[in-house]
Amino acid sequence: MSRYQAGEVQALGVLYDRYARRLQAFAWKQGARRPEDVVQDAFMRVVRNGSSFKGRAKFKTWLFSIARNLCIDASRRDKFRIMPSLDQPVRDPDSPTLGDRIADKAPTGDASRGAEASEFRVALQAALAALPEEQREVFVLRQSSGMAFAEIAEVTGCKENTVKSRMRYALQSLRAALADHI
Amino acid sequence: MAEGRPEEAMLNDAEMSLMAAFEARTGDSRSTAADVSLDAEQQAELDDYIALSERIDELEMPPLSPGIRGLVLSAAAEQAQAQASRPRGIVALLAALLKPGPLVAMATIAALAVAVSVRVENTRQSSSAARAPEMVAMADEAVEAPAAESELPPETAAAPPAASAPAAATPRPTHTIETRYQPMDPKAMRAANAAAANAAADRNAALGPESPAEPSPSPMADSPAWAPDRPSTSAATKGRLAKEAFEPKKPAAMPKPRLLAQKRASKRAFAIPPPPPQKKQRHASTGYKAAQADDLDSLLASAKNNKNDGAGVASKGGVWRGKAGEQARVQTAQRKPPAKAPARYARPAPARSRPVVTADEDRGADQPAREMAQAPPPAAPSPGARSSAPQGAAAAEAESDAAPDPLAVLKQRIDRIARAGNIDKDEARYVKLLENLRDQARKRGDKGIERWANKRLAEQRLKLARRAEAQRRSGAKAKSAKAKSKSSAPAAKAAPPQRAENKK
Repeated sequence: MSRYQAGEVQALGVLYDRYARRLQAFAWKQGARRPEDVVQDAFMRVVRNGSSFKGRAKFKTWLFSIARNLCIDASRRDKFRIMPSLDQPVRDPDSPTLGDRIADKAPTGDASRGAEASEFRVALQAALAALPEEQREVFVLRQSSGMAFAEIAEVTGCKENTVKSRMRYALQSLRAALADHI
Repeated sequence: MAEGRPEEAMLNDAEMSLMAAFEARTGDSRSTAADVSLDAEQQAELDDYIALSERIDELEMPPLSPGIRGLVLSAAAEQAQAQASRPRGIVALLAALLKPGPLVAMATIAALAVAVSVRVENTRQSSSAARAPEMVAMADEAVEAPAAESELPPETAAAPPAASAPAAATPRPTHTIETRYQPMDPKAMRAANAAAANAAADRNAALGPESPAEPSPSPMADSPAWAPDRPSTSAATKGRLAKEAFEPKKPAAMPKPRLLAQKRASKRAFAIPPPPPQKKQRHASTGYKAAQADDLDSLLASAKNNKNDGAGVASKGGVWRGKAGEQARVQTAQRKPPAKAPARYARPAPARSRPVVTADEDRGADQPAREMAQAPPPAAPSPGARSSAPQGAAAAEAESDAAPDPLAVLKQRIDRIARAGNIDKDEARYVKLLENLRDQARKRGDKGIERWANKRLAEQRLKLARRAEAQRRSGAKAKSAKAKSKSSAPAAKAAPPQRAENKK
């Protein structure tokens, strides 16, 4: 980040390559409907406010704090948005559903493995959605960014022991919900 | 999560150890250090958590669009260019300085410094006053001195009558702060007081028996606190007595009409140029039309005569003008003793070798009205003094009382002419008066009077135009009658143009 602040634009490319996928996963696990948008917005904020980054915290902590705020904003906006259901027929009741129409007709790779992954993905999404927001946030931050509990405490603004407690209960709940997939 | 258990309940030691082990084996800061001891059950639980975490990590996310990367990098390049082209140096420094934070800090520091300095000054003054009461007296004197400074040149100001040698020899206190704390020799002070008393007695004798007797110039002469050789009086008692003696008595309340008149006079001195005291000077200096000047001067003179029965105005708004003003100033100075004021104002008179000038003269036209209000009222002139110096008395009254507003006088005059129905007798003079009034009002910025004069002027011009029209018509009628008498036919031809004129 200091190289980017010194005017080296390519340094930002390195940062993007390192954290973009993690940000995407974080946004997806946080329940964002368009994780790519969160990634783009987070890096655009880094570009705009790069000069104000003082280096008191790690760049990773700063970046995920931005992404977290963006996810919170997105979830607030999505509360008022009506989304079409995948199980809803497109036109008349006998017509195929939206899910049937947008499904991949020729999946690549191992079909059984893909199906299993898809099941796990759906189960994980359901289990994460069932978690309290604070626990989900801590779990996703830990899982996606790999931050230490102290850094998560800095991002979320609570004590480290609280973070540990939330993580512990989140893991307990997920273990119970995803016992079949482990 | 255990049912019924609060979400953020504190973990016990075993659970904390479990989380520490989980942190060590997952995430970016993995460590193989197995310094955390877990029992078998906790170990199994930890294994489950780690397996779950790895399973989640295995989940593949859809690939990110490469357009996002390009967009982010292009935005970063633009930002870098903008930063490079941003001016640095003084502008950036100013921008940093003008942020509210540094400004507030600087203002706070400045206010604190001022407050501390004022506090220190007060403390020093109070302590020095307690130590040496004569210093307090000197402080009062030095503070008062600038207000009493004469603005008149030495040759025009009247010399003090019978200023004694000791008084002239006494050094005049300067106005700097440092001199306020110089102790004064009590012997010199007593000599100065005696000289002041002598001078006051001489002046009273010169003014005659009718003039009010001048009070003692200073309470220092009578004050027991100024007897330096009183062995039984301690320093603190001396200080208290000196304070009581020199406590400035409140000046006598100035009557309200007089106060207002002084305020008006000072205002007028700023607002409009005063009319000249004498006709010849005015004509020679300004070159106004003689008739116009005659009108104004006669109006002003009549107004002054009505007001104070004096011999013209030599002063306007506290400023003496012309020869008559100079004469009036000298006479007023001789007539008015300066020591009618309370002791505080009268005390330092003998100590200063300055000409005797009345309080009114001291304060010029540019002294604010507040100071004039606080000043002691001038001594009331006796009838004898008035008869001996009528010009000075008139000037003094014209100065202290409000001189009549020339515009108002002019307006009243015009009104009187109009009410008496004398406009037709001298229309040209009436119009000139109105124009004069309008010009004066315009100069002063008095819109009301200007509008009033314009309206009157318009009425007068309309009246003149109507009269001219009527005269023209009567002339035409006479012509047509003559023509009719000569022959009926030309008269019929002459009729249509007359009708056309009538229509107009």
